[in-house]
Amino acid sequence: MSSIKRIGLGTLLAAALASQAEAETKITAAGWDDLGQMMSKIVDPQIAATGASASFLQVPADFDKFLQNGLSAGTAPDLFYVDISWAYPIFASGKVAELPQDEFAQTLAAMPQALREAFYQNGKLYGIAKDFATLAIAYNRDLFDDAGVDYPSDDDSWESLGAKLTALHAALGEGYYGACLPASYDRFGAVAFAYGWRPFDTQGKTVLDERFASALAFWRGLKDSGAGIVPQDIGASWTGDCLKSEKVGIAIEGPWINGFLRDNAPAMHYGSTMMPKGPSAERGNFLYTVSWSLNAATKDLPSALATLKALVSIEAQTFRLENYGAIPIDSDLSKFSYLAAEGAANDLVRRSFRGSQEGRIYPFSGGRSGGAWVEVINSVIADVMINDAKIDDALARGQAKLDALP
Amino acid sequence: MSRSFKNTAASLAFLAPFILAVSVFFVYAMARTVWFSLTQYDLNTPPRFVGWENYLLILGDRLFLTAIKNTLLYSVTITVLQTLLGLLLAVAIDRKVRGISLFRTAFYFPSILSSAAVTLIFLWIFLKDGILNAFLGWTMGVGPRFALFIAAMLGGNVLLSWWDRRKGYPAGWMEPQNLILAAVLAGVMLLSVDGAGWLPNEPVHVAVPWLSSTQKVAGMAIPLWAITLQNLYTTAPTMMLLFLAGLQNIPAEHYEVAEIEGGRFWQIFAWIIIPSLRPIIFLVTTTSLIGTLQLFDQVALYGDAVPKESRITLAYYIYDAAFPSGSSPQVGRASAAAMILTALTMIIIAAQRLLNISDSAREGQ
Repeated sequence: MSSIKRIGLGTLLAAALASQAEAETKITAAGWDDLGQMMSKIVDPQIAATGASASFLQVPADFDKFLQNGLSAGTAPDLFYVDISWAYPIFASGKVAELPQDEFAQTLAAMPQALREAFYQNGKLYGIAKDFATLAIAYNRDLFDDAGVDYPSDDDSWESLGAKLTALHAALGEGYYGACLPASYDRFGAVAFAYGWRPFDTQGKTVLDERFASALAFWRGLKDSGAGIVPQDIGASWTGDCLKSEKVGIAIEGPWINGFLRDNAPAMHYGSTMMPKGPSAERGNFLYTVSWSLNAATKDLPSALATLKALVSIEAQTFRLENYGAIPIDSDLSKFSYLAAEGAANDLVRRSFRGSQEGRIYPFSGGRSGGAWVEVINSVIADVMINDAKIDDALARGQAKLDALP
Repeated sequence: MSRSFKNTAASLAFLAPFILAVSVFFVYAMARTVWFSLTQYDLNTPPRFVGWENYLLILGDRLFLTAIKNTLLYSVTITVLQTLLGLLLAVAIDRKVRGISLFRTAFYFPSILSSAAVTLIFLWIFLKDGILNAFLGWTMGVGPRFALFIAAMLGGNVLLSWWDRRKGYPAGWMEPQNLILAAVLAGVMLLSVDGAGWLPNEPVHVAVPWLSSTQKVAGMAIPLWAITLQNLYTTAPTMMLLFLAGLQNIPAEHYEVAEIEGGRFWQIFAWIIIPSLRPIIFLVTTTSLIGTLQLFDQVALYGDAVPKESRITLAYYIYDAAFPSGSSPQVGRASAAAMILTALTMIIIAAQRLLNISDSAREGQ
C-alpha cells in the first residue's frame, strides 16, 4: 500500500472515529423558536458533568409534520416540542418516552395544577411544559379616551364589556370597531367556557348545548351591532393585527402580543384586563402550552434526561421570559425579578399567569379527533359569523358532524 | 462483441438515468401508494391490510366529495377561461407594430412571478375592504353617469349625422367630427344634470366576501372563484406564449388569400386561425387540465383565510389526510385519494381523446 493510500485511509478512520465520538455526546433538541443561545449559555454548563453537549434545531413552520416524519423514520431529535393541541397522536404513537415522574417531582410540584396535568396521557407523563399562556384582553387606551368610554376592567362581564365596545363604536363611527371577532374556536371557545359550556363531557362526547348557543348569540350580537368585525374583513389575520391598526378597541390575546405591539405599534398606549366573566361570574380561558418531550429512541437517555432538566430549570425559564416573554412554569413568580417591573407588557404577562388559576380553563385541544374536531367547531362559528346562518341550524349541522367523527 | 450488442448497451447506458428515475419515483412510488391505499397506516405502526375500506370511507366522506366537486369545477372553469384569454391575448399581440415587444413582455410578466408572492398580493386585493371591492363599488357608483354620457353621446351623434344627411352631405353614422362634438355636448349635459343633483350621489358599498365565504356562485364557492381569477392572471400568459408560437407558424399566404377573398376578421379567426392552432389547443387544454387537477399551492397558501370546504381540492385533501392537524396521519386514506386523483386524471385525458380533440389536432397539423 502506498504512503498516500495509507495517509488517506488513516484520515478517513480518524474522521469516522471523531464523528462517532461527537455523535455519542451530542443531544439535539428541536422546536420552532431560536434557542441556540440558550443551549450554549444555560443548558451546556448544566449538563457538562454528563460529558454531553446540547444543540438546538429550529424548524420554524409545520413542526408537527416534521416531528411525525422524524419519529416514523427514526430521525427525530432527542428532545422536542409537543404542542398540547396535537399532543394526543404523538404520545399515542409509542415513539415518545414516558418520563420518570420522580425525577421531575420538584418541577411538577411548583407548576399551576392545570399545567401539571396537561401532558399526562393514560396516566403516564409524556412531557414537561416549557411555558404556557392563557388569554387576556389587551386594549387601546387612546381609542377608549377618544370615545369617552370607560376602559375594560377585571370586573367586567362579557355583557358589560360588550356594552363598552358598542359605545366605543357608536362614539367613533364607521371604520372603528370595539373588537375583532375571529370566527374560530381558539378565541370564541373562551367565551363559551365563560357561559358554562365544556368541550367534552365525561364520556368524551361534545354537545353543542344551549350554553354554547348563548355564547354564540352574544358573539353574533356584537357583530350585528357593528361593535365587532371579523378580522379578515379589515385585512387582519388575527386580533393582534386588528389592535395594531388602531381602529379596534380590544384584542383577545396572550402575552405573545407584547412583542408584536412593541415592534409594530411602538407608540400605542395599551392596557390589559383579565378575560371577562360569564353569566355565572366565572371566567373562561384556554390553556395554551407546549411540552419538552423525549424521544423513546434516544441513544443517550441519561444525557437526554439531564438536558431536559436543564431546559426546564429556573435559569432556562428566566432566559425565555427575559428574551421571549414566555411565562415561567413555576408558580412562584417572585423568583423572576424581571416580572416585578411595572409596565403594560408585564401587566399582561401577570394577567395571563393569573388566567391559569381562575375560572373554567381547558387546554386548546381537539381531543382524540384533533384538528378534525376543531374544524367542526370552527365551521359552526363561521356559519353563524360569516354565512349569517341561524344559530339553531348551524348547531344542528355541527352536532351531526361531531357525532360522525371517529 | 457484436456491433448490435454494443449499440444496445450504449442505448441502455444513455437511458439508464431516466429508467432509474422512472423506476424509483414513478413505478416504485405508484406501487407503494397502491399498497398503502389498501392498508391502515399511521407512519408509526406497521401497515395493516384493510382491503377496499379506505376507498369506501372516503367515498362517504363529505369533505372528499366537496374536494372532487371543487377540483372538477375549478379545472373545467380555469381551462376554458385561460385557453380563451390566452388565445385572445396571443391574437392581440401577434402584430408587427412599434412597441409590440413591450406589450408582449407586460402580458407575459405575471407568469414569472412567484406563486407565494402573487397569493399574498391577491389576499390583499380580495379583502372585504380591499381594492377589488372598492373598484366594483366605484364602477357601480359611476355607472349611471357613464351610461348617461354614452347614451347622450350616441344620441347626439345620430342627430348630427341625420342633420348632415338631411342637408345633403355624404355623412356616415360614425363621422369623427360628429362624434367629438356629440361627446362635448354629452359632457356639458352630464355636468349640468350632475350639478343639478338629479343623479344619485350615495357611494356604492360593495362587500363581496371573496375569501371568508362558503356561499356559491354557479356551483363554485366564492373563494374558489377568487383563486380562479388569481390563476388566470398567472397562467393565461403562458398559454398566450404557446398560442403566439402557433400563430407565428401560420403561413402568411393563408391571411393574404383570405384578405383577397374579402374575409373579415372573425372569418379569418374561425376558418384559418382556430384550425391551424388545433395542436396548440390540444396541448394547452391537456396541460391545463392535468395541472389544475393537481391544484395545491394557492390553496395551501390561502390557509385559514379561507374556510377549508370553500377551497379544498383533491391534492389538498391528500395532504390534509396524510398530515391532519392534531391527529394521527392517515396514509391509507391519503393514498386512496391519490389513486382516485390519478384515475380521474386518466379518465379526463381519455375523454378528451374520445371527444376527438387529439385527432383533430393531428388533422390540423
